[in-house]
Amino acid sequence: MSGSEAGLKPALISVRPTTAESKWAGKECPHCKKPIGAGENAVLCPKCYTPHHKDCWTTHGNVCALDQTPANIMERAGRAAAPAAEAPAAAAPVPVKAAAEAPAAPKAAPAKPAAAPVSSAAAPVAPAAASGGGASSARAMRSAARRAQAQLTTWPHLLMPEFLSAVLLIIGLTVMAWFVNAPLEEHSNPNHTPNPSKAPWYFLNLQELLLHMHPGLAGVVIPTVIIVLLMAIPYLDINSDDTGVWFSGAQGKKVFWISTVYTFFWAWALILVDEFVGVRAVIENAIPVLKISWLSEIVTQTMVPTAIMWAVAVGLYVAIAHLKPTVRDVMIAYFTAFVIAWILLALVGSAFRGPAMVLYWPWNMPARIA
Amino acid sequence: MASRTLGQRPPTGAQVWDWLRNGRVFKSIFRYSYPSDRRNRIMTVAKNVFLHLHPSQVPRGGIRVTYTWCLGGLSFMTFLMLTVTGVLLMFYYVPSVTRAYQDIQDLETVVTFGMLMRNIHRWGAHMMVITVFLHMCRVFYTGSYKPPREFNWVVGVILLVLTLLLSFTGYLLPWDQLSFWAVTVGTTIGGAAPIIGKQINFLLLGDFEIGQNTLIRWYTLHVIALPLILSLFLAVHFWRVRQDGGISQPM
Repeated sequence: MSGSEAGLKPALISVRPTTAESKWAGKECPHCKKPIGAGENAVLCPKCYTPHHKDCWTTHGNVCALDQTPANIMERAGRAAAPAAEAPAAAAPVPVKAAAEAPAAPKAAPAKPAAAPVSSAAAPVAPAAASGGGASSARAMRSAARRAQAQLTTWPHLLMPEFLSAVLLIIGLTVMAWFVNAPLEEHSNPNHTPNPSKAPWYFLNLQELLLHMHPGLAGVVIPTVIIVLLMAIPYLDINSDDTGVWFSGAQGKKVFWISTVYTFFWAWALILVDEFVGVRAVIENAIPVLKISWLSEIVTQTMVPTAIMWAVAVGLYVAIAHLKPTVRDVMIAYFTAFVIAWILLALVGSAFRGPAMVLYWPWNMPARIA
Repeated sequence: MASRTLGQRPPTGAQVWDWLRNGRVFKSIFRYSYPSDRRNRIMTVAKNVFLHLHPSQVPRGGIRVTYTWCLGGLSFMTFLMLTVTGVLLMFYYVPSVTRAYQDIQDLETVVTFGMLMRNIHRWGAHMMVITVFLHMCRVFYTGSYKPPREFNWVVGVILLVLTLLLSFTGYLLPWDQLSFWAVTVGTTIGGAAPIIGKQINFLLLGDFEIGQNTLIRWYTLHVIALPLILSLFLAVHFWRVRQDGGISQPM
């Protein structure tokens, strides 16, 4: 076995907290010749099982002091920080300490470009990929904090909320269904088009876009781009330091609100301008050659809307630039823009568009011409 | 059981419960008593066919209601309710242009609880679109899509699209003016695709206009194909939650 070791990677060994009951407690560490006492972190040689102090193993060059077997200490902090039944008393202070230090760790290593490649490279593999501390220590600290977090049994701590929410859902839906009837209109009639004819509400945002641009752009290109971009988010924003934090903190919340107000304003502004000014007609009158139908389709219905959407998107970045946004902040800005625009357009389509898809106040909405 | 002799008191409720609880039938279904200690609670989840998709332990922060808002679970529960009510509706609904509308009217007027089933199905369909969308927002704003969970986010986006497709295919089935023209609008949007628009439109309608071919296509997609595909992705979605490190947690 030792002959083939040259070509193999060194083994990974885990850190074991020592208690009075540990088999190696009191044994002599072959590096410093001192006994390993309770409360100290120990590692065992993977070949001869000789106990060493954890730090002695590292100072000895990550090899066994007796038979020189190489092995790297596995920085999977869960083992060290939250030992199982092995060392309840002696190791208890360790997880507490790790948890207390952990919140400081992400701040100490903020989302700077240098940190990104590390997390991206390490992500697909288990974070155990050991370098013996150093670069991965912030990461180890974080996962230590996670593991040190109280683990509750699924029964009943997760199952009870799940069960209760299911019961509330069943009751809520049934009560609603009892009192509010699903719509059913006249038998379908292909020869009689109701005015307005609307898609289901969750597609009315697309139908709203249809009023302002080429149907291929509104109904196919934009939805496809949205789906692709949504799927791309986690491959663009790869820094998982702030996983589990709402808006990744105060700055992200600020970005969220800026994006919300910005998108709300621009979506309404563009809808109203196109409704009351009629961008297509204005451009066609200004440039008579565009009165040619197919040319107008390309210019006023495709190029102009695309340019405006790009401009609004770039403007959003400008609006948050003074915050020196991280990748995550940019993601928050654009995802929020999507959510707000999507909801707003669906709302406009549902509540503000009347016959001939003209804008009305919801309280002045004329009856649908069925 | 010994037969009761004259003068003996009837058994109390507690005795009956105790007899049922310790009887052979009950014991054959639920082998163990209520799990009140940590070990048994872990075993209960790990060994139960319905519960074993869950990890047996969960981090405290990850299951706070104000963290998850139960949105994923609510979406799944709505899907189950839609499946149950959908099966009941299928008993009465025939996807034929000559019968469909009449069947819906019968459901509303003749069939016992037919109206209720249809209403639950309809509002549940809207509800699912909303909860899935909100679930996506929750996952995004808590940064839960980040590595190592990136692929599960992609699966989630696919599930959102499937939810919309399921809702939309069901929209046509009542065959009234609302459904007919909503689908006309929707498929016209699809037909606007560059280059292959006409082909896509024909694929969606099975014809040059909405008719029997469209109805049977959308019905089949709605009751079989899409639910199966959705279930498949759901299984992957749930599985990956555990594989990718469990529910994300606030630090």
